[in-house]
Amino acid sequence: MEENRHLGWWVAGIIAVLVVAAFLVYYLSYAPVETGDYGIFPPSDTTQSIEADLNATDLNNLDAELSDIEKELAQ
Amino acid sequence: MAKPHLKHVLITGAMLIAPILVFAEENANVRVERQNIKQEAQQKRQTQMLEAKTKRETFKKEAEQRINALKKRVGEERAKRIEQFFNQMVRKFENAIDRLNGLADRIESRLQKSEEAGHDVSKIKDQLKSARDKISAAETALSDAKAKFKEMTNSQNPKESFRQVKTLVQGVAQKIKEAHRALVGVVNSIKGLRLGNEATSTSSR
Repeated sequence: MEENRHLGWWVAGIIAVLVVAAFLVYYLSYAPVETGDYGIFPPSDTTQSIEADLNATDLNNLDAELSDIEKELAQ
Repeated sequence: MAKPHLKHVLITGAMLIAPILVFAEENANVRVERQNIKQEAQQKRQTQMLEAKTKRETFKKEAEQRINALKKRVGEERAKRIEQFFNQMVRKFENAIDRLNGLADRIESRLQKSEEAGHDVSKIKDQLKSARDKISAAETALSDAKAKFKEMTNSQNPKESFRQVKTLVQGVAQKIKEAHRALVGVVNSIKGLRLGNEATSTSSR
């Protein structure tokens, strides 16, 4: 009977210690998540989505208007 | 009767908690340090972006002055058309630069998560920094081209002056393409490390 009481104290104590430890780890490791300037849904940062957007970036004819200006000046 | 047991439990508890507490504190310190570095870099970039935005706004506001100066040499209608063509081109360049900056931010976010997951991404971070430098170089070159265009509008011989503008603008296009290639290189490096298939907490837009 006495041994059972001892065991009960140990179990209760260890559970209490684990609960406190879990709380401490969670609380001390917690860092607020930044949302940045993107609003509710930031753009995806998976490699696939970045790669897709990089491939979709059209950099042709950026300076096409140069010839239009040249024509205007040539008149 | 219960007092000696309570004492044992408390001592055991303290022994169990102490290392957990130290570990959690170290984790929190590393996290805060990383957060500070990230915030510093973000502030620096925000300052640069603000400067660029101010320059862009100033250039837009000076359109009327440029038209008035150029119309003395080529007439009002042509001066307006030239200004319009140039602005249209500048807008495309600015959009391309903004897009590349946005992509660089997303790559950085990806790297941050990979680093937090325990991967060594220091070399890729250097690559990304180099790509960001190329984007900044493109922005600077665009500012130079705009300044030269302003000079051209006041020039006695706009046709001749425009050649210099053209060379500078072609340089901007080249620099933007180099920056894009650099970002593609960074993404390829990430894929090479097999970091890309990890799930993230961010959502697609």
